[in-house]
Amino acid sequence: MINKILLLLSFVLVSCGSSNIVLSPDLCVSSGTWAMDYSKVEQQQLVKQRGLGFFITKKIWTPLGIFKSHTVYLRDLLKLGDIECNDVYNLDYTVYGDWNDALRSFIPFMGTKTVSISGTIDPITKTREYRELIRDSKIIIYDE
Amino acid sequence: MKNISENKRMRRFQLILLLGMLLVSCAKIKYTTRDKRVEIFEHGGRNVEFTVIGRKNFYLWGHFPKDATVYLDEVIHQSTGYFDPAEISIEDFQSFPQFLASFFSIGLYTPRSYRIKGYAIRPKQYDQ
Repeated sequence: MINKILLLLSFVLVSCGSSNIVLSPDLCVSSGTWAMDYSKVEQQQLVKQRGLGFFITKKIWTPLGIFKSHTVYLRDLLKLGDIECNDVYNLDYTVYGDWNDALRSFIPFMGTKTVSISGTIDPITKTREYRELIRDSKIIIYDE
Repeated sequence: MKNISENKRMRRFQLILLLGMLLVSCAKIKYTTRDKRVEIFEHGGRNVEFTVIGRKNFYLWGHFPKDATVYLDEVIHQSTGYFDPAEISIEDFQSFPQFLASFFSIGLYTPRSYRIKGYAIRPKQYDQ
């Protein structure tokens, strides 16, 4: 009997720890793009040097887990960092679960996931020179 | 006496099992692009709406691979043949069969899916 209850309980807990999250770009008017690969050291340095980067994370509660989808609006996520859609040069999006999320899935019928967006922003990004600068991976930033 | 200690051991095992299963959702998926533009907002000119569904497999409670990356430009072009996608929405989910697979494997195998919707340009040869 106890075994059956444990199995049922774990089923409920795990199913609610699973998630279905939709990132929606609705009403996010922007001239930006999804990120190019930022693995290049020069680009990372450039972003850091100019203070252009942003990184925003949010815990999304997902009641009923896999049985119900939860929509996250890109516009709302950016607002958490006081960023308007129009200011974004580029961004990427990550969905993951950490230890906190695993622990929160103990709450019956609830669960959380962490979503993060990172990217770059700057008024300068609206100029053509900067766009060309950052897209060119061969750029030598120390020459500036 | 022996029965009681066996029971305790069993309970402990079940608790560990339960905790293990709770960590099923530790998978991490990053959505980005590799080398082509994917605009955040559709400013006009895209003539077709598309939906792409894909899957990423994770193992050991989602800890391997540590980081899975979905390259939006590549995935969309390979799946549809369309180019210059924009205004994409991303749904990150676990289908019910995938959930069952995770559950019965105690998280050793945890597949996840993604559904990408958006607008793109359909090449003219597709109309013929």
